[in-house]
Amino acid sequence: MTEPNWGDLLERAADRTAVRPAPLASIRAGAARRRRRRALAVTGVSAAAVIAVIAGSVLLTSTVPPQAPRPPVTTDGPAPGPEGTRLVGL
Amino acid sequence: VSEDDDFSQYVAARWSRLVRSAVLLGCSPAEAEDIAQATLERCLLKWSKVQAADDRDGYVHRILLNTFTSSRRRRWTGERPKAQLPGRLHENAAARVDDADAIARALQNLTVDQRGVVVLRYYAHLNEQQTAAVLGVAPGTVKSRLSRALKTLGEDPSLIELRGIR
Repeated sequence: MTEPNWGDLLERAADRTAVRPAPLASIRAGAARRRRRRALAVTGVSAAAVIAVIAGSVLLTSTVPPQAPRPPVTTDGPAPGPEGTRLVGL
Repeated sequence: VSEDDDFSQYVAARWSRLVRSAVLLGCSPAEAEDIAQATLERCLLKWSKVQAADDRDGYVHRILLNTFTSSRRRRWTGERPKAQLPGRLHENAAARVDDADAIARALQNLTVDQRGVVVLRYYAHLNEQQTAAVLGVAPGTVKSRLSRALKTLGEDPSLIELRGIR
């Protein structure tokens, strides 16, 4: 018994399947549908991302505790010396 | 040649081959047409990539295999129980499909990976390197899968019978 020609066997098996003509119009329509669906999905994901960022920002700002009293930025300067004198030393 | 024309020519030339590849992978003829159509729809979405591919047929077969694998994961493609068989073959027709049936049954005994390798090598006529690239495995893996697949096919009783007669 010789080794079978697998290529030939598969060709014969495959040739038994009757194939209708290629539905070119359906393929094009299907591709257009996929393209629309993909564009819609990309838009949806982008919108969801924007909403998530905005919602996150709002959430963060709303949960910050009320502002604590701030320390004075500047303090009063030293009291000026008596009239007619000036500071000397150091 | 415009992109549209190129695609149309490719479909006209390869449609039946793609459908039959899907049949050999284990699909019913109707399912095979659906899978070939889905494959070509996906290809059309990025036809410029397909055109630029070094091995266009290999690229398309990779999409075909992925589409086939995905379709097998979905429930709607599963077998459904029926009270009666959908159709009965006329006896002559049954005799004519004996060979094909024997081969189809023998292919069913292979794993999905092995069937993929056999179809790509012996029906799509891709070489080892191309097959390895399509499947995303090493050429050595293609060799070993093919070797195991052919061993299983060689030991299949229906194929032994077929080879004995011819």
